[in-house]
Amino acid sequence: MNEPLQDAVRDALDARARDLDGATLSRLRQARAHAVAQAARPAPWRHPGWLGALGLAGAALLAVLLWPTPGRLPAEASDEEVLLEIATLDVDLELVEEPEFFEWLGEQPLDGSA
Amino acid sequence: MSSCTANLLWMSPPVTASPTAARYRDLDAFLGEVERRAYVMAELATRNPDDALDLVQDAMLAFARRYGDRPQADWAPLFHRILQNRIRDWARRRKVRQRWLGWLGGSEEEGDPVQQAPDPHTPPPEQRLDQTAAAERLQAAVAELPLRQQQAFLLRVWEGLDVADTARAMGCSDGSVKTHLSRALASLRRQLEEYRT
Repeated sequence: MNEPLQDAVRDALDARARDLDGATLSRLRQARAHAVAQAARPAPWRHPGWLGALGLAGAALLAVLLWPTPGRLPAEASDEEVLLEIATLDVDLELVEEPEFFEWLGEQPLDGSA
Repeated sequence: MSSCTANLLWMSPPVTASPTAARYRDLDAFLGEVERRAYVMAELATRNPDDALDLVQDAMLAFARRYGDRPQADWAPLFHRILQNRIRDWARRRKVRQRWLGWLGGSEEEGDPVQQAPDPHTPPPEQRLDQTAAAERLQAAVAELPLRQQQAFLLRVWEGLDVADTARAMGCSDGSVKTHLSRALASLRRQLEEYRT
């Protein structure tokens, strides 16, 4: 498979792939990040519904225990901030149960150059 | 790292270099490695950048969901199988759409003036370099191959899959791959005789 014709076509296609425009590359990067995030989502057959319910119940209990009350020590404010931040975070809640996904996410460059 | 991510990591048990995180890295690296060629394959088949991006995005998503936990050695043929299936489905839908448009007395091209308009970014032919023109002619020749021949050619010659993996990706027998490839090469030779000489 090394005849000149095939080499020439291969080179032309390599050049096309190498010279893709920025908008296309950006959309491909977004598609890739979305796909990896979906891989982090637990599959339903590996993640029974009662586990999710248990997790939600635990989160609710934690929220009640840490809810701001008058006279609390200022040092506990950081926990509340964390909970508030999670509550307002624009992510799929199932992913919060996948710390490895966030480990991977944390390694990604912030400028989207990956 | 954003403060949100830092806080979430703080709440979790230490997971430094966990196998699952390594898997996400591998998955990201694999998709990053194949995404450009996957896009060009889809673009050659569809000749439409938006359709090509949709197909690649769809294939990445399906691959990550279904096969992200499979051995890495299987990833390339599995990903290409999904992508080629998506491309084939797209071609079928397009055929049906064109048949309907034919019955209704129109054609897809006639109904979409944007598709017919010349690309404003394309320089006039006399300004193009010979090399660029030759590369474009080669790409056009591949784009004009029948879909199955195009798939066999791209997977075998460009992507470098062996006959068995190409057959898996295309959902056909080894013999069919060889037949499609042989016809593709014959067709390309005919079309590009001028280039070879």
